[in-house]
Amino acid sequence: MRFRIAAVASLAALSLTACAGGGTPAATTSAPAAASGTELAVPTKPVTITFEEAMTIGTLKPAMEKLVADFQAKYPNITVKLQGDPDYATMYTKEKAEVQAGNAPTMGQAYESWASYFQSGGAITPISELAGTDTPPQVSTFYKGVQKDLTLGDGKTWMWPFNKSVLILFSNADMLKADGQSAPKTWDDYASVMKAVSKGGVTGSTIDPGSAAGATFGTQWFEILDKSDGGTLYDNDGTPHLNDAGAVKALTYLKGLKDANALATGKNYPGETALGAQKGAFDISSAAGYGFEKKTVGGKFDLGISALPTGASGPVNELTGTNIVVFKNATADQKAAAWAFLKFITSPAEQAGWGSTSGYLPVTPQALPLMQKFVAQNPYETAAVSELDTAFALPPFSWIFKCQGYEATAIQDVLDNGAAPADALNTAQTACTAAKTQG
Amino acid sequence: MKLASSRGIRSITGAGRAGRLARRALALLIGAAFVFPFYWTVVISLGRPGEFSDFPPVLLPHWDWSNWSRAWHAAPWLRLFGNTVLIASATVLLCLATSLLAGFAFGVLRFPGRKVLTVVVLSVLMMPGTVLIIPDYVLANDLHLLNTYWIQIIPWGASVFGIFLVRQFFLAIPQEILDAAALDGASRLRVLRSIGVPMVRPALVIIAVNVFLGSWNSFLWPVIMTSSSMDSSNTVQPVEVGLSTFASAEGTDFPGLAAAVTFTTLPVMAFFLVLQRQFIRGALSAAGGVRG
Repeated sequence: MRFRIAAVASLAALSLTACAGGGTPAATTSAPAAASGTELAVPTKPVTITFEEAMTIGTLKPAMEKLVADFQAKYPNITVKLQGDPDYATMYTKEKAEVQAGNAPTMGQAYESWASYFQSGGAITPISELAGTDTPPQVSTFYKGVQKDLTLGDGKTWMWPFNKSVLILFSNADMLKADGQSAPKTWDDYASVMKAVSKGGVTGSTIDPGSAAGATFGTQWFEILDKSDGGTLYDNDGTPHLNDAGAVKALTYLKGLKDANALATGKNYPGETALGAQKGAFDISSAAGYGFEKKTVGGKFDLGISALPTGASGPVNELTGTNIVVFKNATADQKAAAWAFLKFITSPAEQAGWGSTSGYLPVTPQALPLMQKFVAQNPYETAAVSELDTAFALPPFSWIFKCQGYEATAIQDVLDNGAAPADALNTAQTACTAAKTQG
Repeated sequence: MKLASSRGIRSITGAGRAGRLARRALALLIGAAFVFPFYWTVVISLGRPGEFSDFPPVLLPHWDWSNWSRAWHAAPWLRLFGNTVLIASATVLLCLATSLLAGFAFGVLRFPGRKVLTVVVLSVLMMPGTVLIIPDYVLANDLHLLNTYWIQIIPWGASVFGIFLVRQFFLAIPQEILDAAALDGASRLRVLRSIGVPMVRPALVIIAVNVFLGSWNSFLWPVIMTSSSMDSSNTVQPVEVGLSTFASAEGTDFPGLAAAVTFTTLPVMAFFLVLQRQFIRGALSAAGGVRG
């Protein structure tokens, strides 16, 4: 607990910022802003663009650096400076601070709800301003689920795809085989197998729902369960239905597993750790986490990988990962360079390289023929990318990020504190409704 | 009688020895509880792939140095370590100066509005830091302090806790001593230097240790206020930010993290082990100063 001079002067600082115009850089004139129907031309003079990103670790770092190196080799006059952040919650705080200070990067990773927040404050640039059209030709080459994920509530395209993935089911195939079990096809099967293998110190799976500060895969599993059974957590306009019967049923499903000692909760990828320690049989995680799962297992057993089980509504999956937004205060040259970068990284060749190195899924099927070696070594890839056509994303509104936090809190309350699913979800619904009202 | 007495002494001696043994065993147990996490971190850092997740945990290292090699090349550690030492040391010095001066003013000097000012300063304790991080960033940007050492030192160079603690120590000093010094012609600064500092030394030791630890472990503040690339040889970021490069949205490289934690903690441990006698002596003499 410390006294901070800055804290006392914060209001004065906000006033100063307003007076100073937030230090927004003046636009240069060499790259004309795209009028309607005019795509920004790649700048010819030297220009530096900054990219706020979280690809700072393991295979993600070299994959990110290769994208940048390839781009700079093609456009030697453009320099891309990476501004790495350790996690998404920190990145969001930092991006908000940078926008507030008029010091935003040229581009940044952003979830749909973040993009909505920035768009409502006039902080980001629509893709039409870069491409000259709201539907650049590249968009039609993306998987359908990815295409839908680029627009905000006004129906316009504000984002460009980046690190996309879906959830898949990792398992200890040897453990299942020894127990006479096979990979579950439906969520009912999954519950049966989880209960059957939960003995002798083994817990079917361990999940981390996240917290109010940010939801993680455990919460996304809850959202998938709800939708698999025909539920709707959010209307298209972002109106929450977190305490609907479907949501209560999904949370009751998780509670049933917990009560049967087939499900536990933890922090920091607990499912992966438990799976690696052979104390867990399953882990629901992002396809992009394959490299980490493999490292954790360390060849101790056969790591099974399969698509998520299905519910009454058939196969349902949720998009994970972020998109990229271009911030408004970038100069015209920077915007033009950023647009060149966005198009470059989503080209089939770069997507093939990015997907093969990082583990994220390519956003266009045109990349698959170029990554046959990787697909042969990672057979789950074909099934996972096919889900990019159908995977859903939550409605792109600023309060959804908070509401997912309330979902996570409800799941924690039920699984860790014994709360009744309906009560916990009522609390989440009330909080989410208030967040929606605040906007 | 004599025999019985001698038996009694022997019995008391035996009981004393047993008690001593029990105390040592307890101390050993508590010590092991503190040392084990660090030991296990070292074991993980030297383990084979996948070993860190084993249960029961592997307790002996396999001397696989590949994690160390990978971790060492992940960030400019010497630079980051130097940054952390510089930032933590400067913050401690600044904090000691501000705590001493403000504590002296609030505890000894008499001026109008002293009580109100004290309450205003203490009220900062009620403000959650995370709420202020965005306004703080805006202020730092306006003052051109982003990506500098200054932004990691100056805002933390005054501690409410430190001011409060020093003030309480000053309030405990008998007024007669201060009056006597004044009668002898000592200026306020002389009173502070010659009487105040020796008498509040225990408080200063506590503040120094707390501020140093807080600064060393600081993460969110430097990560928000600085953005230099980890590959940059002129980064101003501290070790804690470097350690975060082993975690991502998709997973954490635990063996790499364990290796980095080990080689960034070892110098601090070595420093303490070499100087622990001086630390303890300093703290004890400081405590003596209180009683005196």
